[in-house]
Amino acid sequence: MDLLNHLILGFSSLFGIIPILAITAGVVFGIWVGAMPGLSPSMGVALMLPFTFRMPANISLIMLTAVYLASNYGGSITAVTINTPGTPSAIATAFDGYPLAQQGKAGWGLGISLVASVVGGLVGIIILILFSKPLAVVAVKMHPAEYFSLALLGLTSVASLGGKNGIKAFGMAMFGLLLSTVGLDPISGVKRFTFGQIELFDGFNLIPALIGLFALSEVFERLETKLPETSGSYKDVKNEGEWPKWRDYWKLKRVTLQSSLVGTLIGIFPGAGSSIASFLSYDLAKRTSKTPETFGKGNPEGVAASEAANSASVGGAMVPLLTLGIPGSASTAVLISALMIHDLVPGPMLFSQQPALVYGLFASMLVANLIIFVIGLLGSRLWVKVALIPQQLLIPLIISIAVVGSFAVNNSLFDVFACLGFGVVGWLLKRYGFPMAPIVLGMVLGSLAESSFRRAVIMGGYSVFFTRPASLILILVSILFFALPFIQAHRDKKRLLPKN
Amino acid sequence: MSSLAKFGNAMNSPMGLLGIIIVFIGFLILCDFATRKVLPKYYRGQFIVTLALMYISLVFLIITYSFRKSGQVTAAMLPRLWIYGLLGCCIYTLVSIFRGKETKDPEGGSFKMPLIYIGICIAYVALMPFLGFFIDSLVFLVVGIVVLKYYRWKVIVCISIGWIAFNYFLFYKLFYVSFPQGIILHL
Repeated sequence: MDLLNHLILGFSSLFGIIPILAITAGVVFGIWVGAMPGLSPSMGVALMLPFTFRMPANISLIMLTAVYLASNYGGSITAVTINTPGTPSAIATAFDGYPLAQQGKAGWGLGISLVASVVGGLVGIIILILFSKPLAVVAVKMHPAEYFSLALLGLTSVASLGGKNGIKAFGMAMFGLLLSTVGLDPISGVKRFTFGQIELFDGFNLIPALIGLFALSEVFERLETKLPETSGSYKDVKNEGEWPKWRDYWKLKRVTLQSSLVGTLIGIFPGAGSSIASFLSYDLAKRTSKTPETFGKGNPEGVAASEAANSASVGGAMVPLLTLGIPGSASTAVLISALMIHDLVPGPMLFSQQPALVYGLFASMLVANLIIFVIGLLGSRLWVKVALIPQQLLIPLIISIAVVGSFAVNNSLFDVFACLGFGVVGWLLKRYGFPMAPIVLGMVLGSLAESSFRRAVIMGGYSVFFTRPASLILILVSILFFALPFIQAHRDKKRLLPKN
Repeated sequence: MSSLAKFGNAMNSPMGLLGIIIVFIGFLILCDFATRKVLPKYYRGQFIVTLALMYISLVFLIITYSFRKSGQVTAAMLPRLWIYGLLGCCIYTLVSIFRGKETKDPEGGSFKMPLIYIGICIAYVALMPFLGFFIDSLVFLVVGIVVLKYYRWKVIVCISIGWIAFNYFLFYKLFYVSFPQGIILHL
């Protein structure tokens, strides 16, 4: 009953033009930031922060949270239209979103990513509202061994990302993990594979790497063949504006809800992140799909799974932030500073001392999702036109976006050269049948896996991974998930052999 | 420090990197010539790529011997684990190639335009400190579009200037991204 009263109180605080304007401004800005490669959700929240200093605390928080929510959706726009994920959490969206655009169904990719994002965001917030306190207790008990096992579980999705050649996919994941070790060792400070370059002390930045591996490699691959001379590069230009019908969205309800739950749960664990949530959900969606062989070739379920999870993880990341004052991600770390600027201390006392603020925030997040839907729907009619731009114009523009995006991360030309290098390497690897996605997966999960592994061993020795029940279960599930595609392939081979 | 560690330390330096790259190119050319008569054409691409990955793994493995050992889990432990995993996959792929069991190289197009464009991109980035971001990007866009045989000049000018203006207002003014100004603007 208390919860209902608090929620009504929260919604009532949104009645008024100022709160709605604040949410709308946050959503528009967030979508822009998310769509631009090189600008991350945390950067968007940090950039908006100074503008909110003089605002009342509740308006400030709802605006910043709207930026955070919307930027997770925004990354899917460029992921679908030009295979350049605007945020790392949209990488998995590109796996099926971009093939959909290549088939002349950019409208489908954008529509599904929008609806799945909104549904995922709503589910994440509902779970936040209903279960924030008990979930926070679980989150804070996570041992580094469990983080390592979670990263290992994330790595098992390499088996489903590799397509037909599991060994090449596994090799590429190892390559990505190796690349993630470049830089100063976080525990001992040893310079690993830096070759005397100061710029490599922090390792390869993820954003330039993923822009190079996805966008530039695709550009170089397109240049291998003669570009069409007429405008529009797809066979069926009519379909660019076609959108899924409501029954098409309804068919995706299982995968959307499943991914929303997974995304929220992963988002709760500090440091796990929306990227891991989207990869795991994508992998789970593929394993539970009736047509797993169509993933990576434009299956709407792949788009829905990734987007629902990365949006739902926002609600999950807010759980440790609000209940314990522990930021679950870089964006929530910026939100903590926003709370502190307004003399608010996140934690259990915030719920009892400032219920109007907290539940107003929850209500605003629900409203923000609806505004994302409206703005996304209106804007998507525009984004889909990207698919009609002649390749001769699009290719130099994509390269320019890649340069700007890579430079903007650290104001460094080294990152731009690194992006170009990754683009060339990615193009050559792709040309000869080596998949890209596992490299990015390895780079995303590598530092989490290594730091958690080493911390766990320092704290409890090697046996800690098997003596902690949660860690043991995650490891066993990982082994099973990894082995399943190979077992299935072996069974299929035996079935196809003649009986005698 | 053992001799392997010293060698690894030497490789993990700017001159070491140059040496690695020179030996890498020579190694790949040599392997390609050596296997031309043994390997069918449709496996040469992935064979070269696999060899390249093995070379990188071995170089990185040698460098790990130069890492200082401290604590129960050293800085070299996990990189070596990933290297062994990568080497294992490369060896498996090579064996599959020589046994003829690997899938053939996918059909690809011509290298010419991608290589030309890579050259243009390198020039674009290398000239940025001298020309500045805005002038350099303008030139790149015009050259990049014309190289792809698109000659509608009104569209080219609008796109180029529009994109530069967009970057100026959004990234430079709003997001305070410090684009290189270039020597020319300073003069």
